Amino acid sequence: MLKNSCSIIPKRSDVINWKIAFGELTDATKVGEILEAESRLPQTKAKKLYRGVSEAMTNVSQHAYMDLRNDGAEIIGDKGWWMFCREEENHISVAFCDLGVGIPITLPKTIEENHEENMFKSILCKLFTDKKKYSDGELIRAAIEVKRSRTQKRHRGKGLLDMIKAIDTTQGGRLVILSNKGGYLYNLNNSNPSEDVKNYKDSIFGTLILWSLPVSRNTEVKL
Amino acid sequence: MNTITTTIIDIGRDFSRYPAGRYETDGPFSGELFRAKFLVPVLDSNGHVTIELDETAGYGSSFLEEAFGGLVRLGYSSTQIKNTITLHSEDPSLLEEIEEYILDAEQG
Repeated sequence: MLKNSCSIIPKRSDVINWKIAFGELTDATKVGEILEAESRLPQTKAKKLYRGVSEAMTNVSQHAYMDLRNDGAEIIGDKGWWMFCREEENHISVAFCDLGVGIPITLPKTIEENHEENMFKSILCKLFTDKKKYSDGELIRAAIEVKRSRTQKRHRGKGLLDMIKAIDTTQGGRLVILSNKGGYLYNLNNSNPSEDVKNYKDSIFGTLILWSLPVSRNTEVKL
Repeated sequence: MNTITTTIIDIGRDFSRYPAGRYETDGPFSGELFRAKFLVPVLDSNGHVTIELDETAGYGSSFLEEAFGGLVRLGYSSTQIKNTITLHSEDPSLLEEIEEYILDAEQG
């Protein structure tokens, strides 16, 4: 990903057994082929994961590389994304990442484009009290709440909700969105969704989205 | 007597099994391209089309919204769209979602 080669050859099964796709545009052909090849993954779940990953990819095309990336690599014109997929026992994990400027940086622009400044501010106050500066995790959490708003017009981006939709009817489903220094976690256990915000000392200089879900059919729940 | 020709478009077969993205600048199988290639010509020729939705790997909301809601932004009314395009899917939530995009686009 950083365009450097490494002489270490990994051997651990949880490191080497990943199917990989990468690209720069929203061309989800390889991603779709990988998900469809997971023979134990029911088609409905594969379609939901495809929804989440293809929207994450669209976000990369449209926003993620709006400025020079923050890792100091000074690579200009790169719009790369990477997808990793691994099935083990009864679980499938799908990770999607980019090295763009991160959701907390792209948010002000997309919020302004969609004329959602007031709604965003009011949601931030409601969720985390009124303060001058919000953490990256809080910004991601509030962005998701904006997308949930009933008054929000559908033609505005709904990509973040597609990421939740990928697992929101799967018992034991888990979504993690990490971007720069912030994290958002969504879990579905015993039919009850739970959400959490995390903040970290260091930045990952980009965005990593991880879906994890059981593959068996009887984990589908109605909310 | 006027006759209306019905075309059947299977997105997975005739466009791509892996549709993704909103605009043509996003990628090769975007909602904007699908709309321009398959939906606009039928609306302009006063024809009728049945769209088979199920033979793909799935859809993101950007693709669906731009393909169908985008028709309203081009000036076609929801009535005209409904009279011209019949959607077919075994997944009723997918049909509802597309209908919402069309109605929401009409409300501005």
